[in-house]
Amino acid sequence: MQKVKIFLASSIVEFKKERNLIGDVVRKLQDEWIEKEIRIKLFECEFFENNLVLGGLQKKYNDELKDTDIFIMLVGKKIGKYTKEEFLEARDNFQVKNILIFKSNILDRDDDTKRFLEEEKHYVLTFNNNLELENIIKNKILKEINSMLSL
Amino acid sequence: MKKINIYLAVADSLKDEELEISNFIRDLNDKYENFDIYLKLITNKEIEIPSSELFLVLFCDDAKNETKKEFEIAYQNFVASSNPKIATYIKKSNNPTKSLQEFIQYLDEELKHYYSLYENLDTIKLNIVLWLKNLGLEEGKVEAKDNKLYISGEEVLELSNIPIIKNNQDLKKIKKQKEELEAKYWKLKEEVLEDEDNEELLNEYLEVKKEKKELEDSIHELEKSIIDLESTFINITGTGKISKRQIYAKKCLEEGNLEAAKEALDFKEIQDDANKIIELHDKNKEKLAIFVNELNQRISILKLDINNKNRFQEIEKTYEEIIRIEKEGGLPREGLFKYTKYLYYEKNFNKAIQYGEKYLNYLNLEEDDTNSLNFFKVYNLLGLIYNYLLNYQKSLDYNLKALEIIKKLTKEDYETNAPNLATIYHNLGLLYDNINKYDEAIKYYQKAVEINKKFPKNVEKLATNYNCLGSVYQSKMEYSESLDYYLKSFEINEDINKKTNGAHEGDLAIVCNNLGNLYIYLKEYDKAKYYLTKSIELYEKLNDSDPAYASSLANSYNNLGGLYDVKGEKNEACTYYLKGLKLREQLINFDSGVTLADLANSYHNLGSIYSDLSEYEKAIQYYQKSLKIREELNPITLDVYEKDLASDYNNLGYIYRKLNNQEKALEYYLKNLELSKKVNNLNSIGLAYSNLGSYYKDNANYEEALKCFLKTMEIREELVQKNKKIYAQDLAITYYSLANIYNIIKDYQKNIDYNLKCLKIHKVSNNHDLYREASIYHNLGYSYFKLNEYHKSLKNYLKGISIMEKLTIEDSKYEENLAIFYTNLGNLYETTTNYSKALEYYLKNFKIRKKYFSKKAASYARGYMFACRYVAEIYEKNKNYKLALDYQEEALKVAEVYVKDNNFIEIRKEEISKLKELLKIKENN
Repeated sequence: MQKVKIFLASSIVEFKKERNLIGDVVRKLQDEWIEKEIRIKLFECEFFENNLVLGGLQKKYNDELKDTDIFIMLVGKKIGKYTKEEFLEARDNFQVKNILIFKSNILDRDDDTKRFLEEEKHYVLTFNNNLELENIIKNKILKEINSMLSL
Repeated sequence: MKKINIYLAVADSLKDEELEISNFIRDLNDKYENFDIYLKLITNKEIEIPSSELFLVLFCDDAKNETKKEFEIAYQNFVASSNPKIATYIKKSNNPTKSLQEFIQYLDEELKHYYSLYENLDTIKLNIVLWLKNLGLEEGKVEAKDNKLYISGEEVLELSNIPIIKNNQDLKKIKKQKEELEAKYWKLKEEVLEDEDNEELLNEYLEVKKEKKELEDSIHELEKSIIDLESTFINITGTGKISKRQIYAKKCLEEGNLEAAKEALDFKEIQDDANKIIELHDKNKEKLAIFVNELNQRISILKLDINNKNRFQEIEKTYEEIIRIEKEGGLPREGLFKYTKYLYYEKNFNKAIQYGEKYLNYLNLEEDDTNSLNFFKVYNLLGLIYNYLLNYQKSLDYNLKALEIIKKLTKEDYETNAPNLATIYHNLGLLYDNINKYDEAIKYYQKAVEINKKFPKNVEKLATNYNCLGSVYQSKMEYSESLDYYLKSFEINEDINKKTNGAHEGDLAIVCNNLGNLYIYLKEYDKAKYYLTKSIELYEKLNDSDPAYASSLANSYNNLGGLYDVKGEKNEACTYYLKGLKLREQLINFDSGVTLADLANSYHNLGSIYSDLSEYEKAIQYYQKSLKIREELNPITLDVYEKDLASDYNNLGYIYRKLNNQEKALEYYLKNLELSKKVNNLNSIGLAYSNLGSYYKDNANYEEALKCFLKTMEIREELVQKNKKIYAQDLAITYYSLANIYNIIKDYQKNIDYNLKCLKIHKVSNNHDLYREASIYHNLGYSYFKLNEYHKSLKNYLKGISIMEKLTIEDSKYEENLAIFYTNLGNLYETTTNYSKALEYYLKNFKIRKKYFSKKAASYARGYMFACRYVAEIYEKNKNYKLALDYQEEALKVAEVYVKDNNFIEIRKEEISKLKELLKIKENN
């Protein structure tokens, strides 16, 4: 069974709805592709703003990053410390080939976050509404599946 | 791949709920991936409703037409074909619309269809998991623990928001008690670590630990009972026949009112209603079936009623009522089987057998198909019960019957029935193992393996099969096969443990322990140490949270002690034996799994170690403690403890011999013999006679010694006929002992005969003891010498010397033996007047004796002085009077200073005088 693995990093409070939406996209795609023996797995990081220390979770998340095909990050008003760390791990340590940073279309972002988005702009995509988010992610996963099948 | 379709119909206002359920299903698919199961969630496709296994519908404030239409389609299909199963949920609302109210009325009054009011989605998620179980999805163990729901050890759901759990007053109370105890527990634990020798503190800590565990067990039991109750309820709603009483009882439970729930399903009320139907010969089976369901639900509620001291009697009374209604109402008598199972779990085995056999009688009368699953289930259950009662023959009978049925069912439907077939094969393997029929056990275990390999969900069972195969091959002493299987089991257990984040450590620890012990037999001590240490690490961790592992931890300490013992590292062995003993002594009174036999075993091992360390008084103390327990234990059969008791008697006999307390030594050897004869174990009797023979020999009672060794020989020759591999070495030792006795009493021909017999066995054995072999050749050389068969004597002396010289190169501790060999060969040459050769060997002897004499004169003086004498006498025979004189004078000097043997001194003086004369004459000539 071939696998496409997605790693989702975001604030759990700010993006609860979007995380569910992404999960729903994955599930629906999975329904289509299970017959062709392709598994699409979504791993969700659970970051809470008031987490002082990641502790043992860090190792768990790094283990999951190892064979990740698509790294998705949702950025809202403020980028969490751990979300950023996971991004850096994905990019630098594990060289994940597909990195998507979605920024919600809001105006009151803090400066640090703005700076980060500017530095990493080649990964950044904006979504205005949930349907747009859904479509972008769906297309990305399908592209990855097609790329896997053509190998 | 097994696929299950779940149709979800939701009102538009519940889109967030739809997404959350979608994600939950996705998460479940991840959990079920290893079992090759896929759940497909379908929405907005009415055409797929009939082919779905489960239909979930959620309403909120309103009942819109689209959702109602989907519900109708599902309902019509259910009425026609009992499929799909329907679960209807209405969100609790303060403002239900008119359409919703009308719809609820329609469900209640027209359809009499059950719906559930929910506050949050956790209730629905739990129900989805339980629905899947009820649809026959047996893969993945569903377990409630610490407010979470797990599937195969992986968390799927938080349970604390589910009303039936959240509002359970007893659960709340026990959790609070546990919280309060936790603080005390951690405090005591710290104090104990700082003050390890404080026994009072330690006992207090162990009491609190035990209490904490009991509370944790009560919480788990209660959580399990609640989940079972939910599951039973879902099962009932799936039939579409649920009474108002049942719905009301469920509502009361969700509100935390256990008493009201019990009242709602009042025993007398249900009994009266059932009687009305039965007495009127109404035989309305549908109604009677509902009453039976109500009583079943009552049983589930009673199981939650943990403060009710009479609950077990009430449960049994309810089961008996179910059985009566089913009998008198002409319903299928499933109550008999359920009651049997309940009694089995409550360990009321005799009553369980009674009802199990009643069920069997019923099936024999009513069921045409004697190969049905019902027969299989009851044979299987009776097999388990008799196994628990250690009645292996009856258990075997029932298991074989169950086997015949499940084989036939498996031919018809392999996917469904093969796992059960594997279970029966495994159970049969265990049974045959218990009665020591190892080849049969292997046959059945292998069959279980063949099936379990084909089912990924059975990987844990496969690991257990391999472990059992390892164990049975070890019992057969086929260690290479045993190792293969243990390693296979280890690999799987380690993998499962990683995947479940350490939830499988118990099974992994077991196989590590087994591997460690096996490697000891294989003499691969580094590997043995690795696995035993790993086993200890795992058990230490497990024991921290669950004292049920304490006895296994004590066993592992003991086993590691055993490893060091075998390696000769006696002090390390002592450390671990003491650790094991300490734990066993602490736990023996705490219902921890540690038995008196375990404690005796610890005492025995320490007796053995102290004996090896020559600390005989301590050794005696420990052996006596072991003996006291073993003599007092009331064994199931004497055989169970005979070997251990005999070992204690034997070892005490040995120690008393060492301490020169011959009376006590004899006492214990005779006890050993008496015990062995009582149990009629030939091997033990042989050993007992052998020990007595050694005792008599030490006490110079050669006649009795001979009698004992001859008896030993008789027994061991008989045993060798049965199993050469096991008993040949023992027989060789007996021949050797007999040869030694005959040597002492100067029956040299018999000495030769027995030495030759010993040598014959020795040469073909895998356990090649070169020292023994060298000694045998030497003894033969000596005996042939005594019989004047010099040629044969020479041949054997030379063989003996050749081996002993090789041994001495590797280890100088054999040098003194070699010196004796040289002396005797020198003596042979001297007798045959080959003086140059005699001199050669006497000088070799002299060289060794001088070396030791120069290190420690007092201890080695005697040997040295005789060595000087032998050389002197040869030189004299060779007429080399000068050298002869030198050696005689040296011998005299040593004798006068160190040995003070007057006779020897006088003779030396005479010899010296004579040599001086001879020298004078020679010089004058």
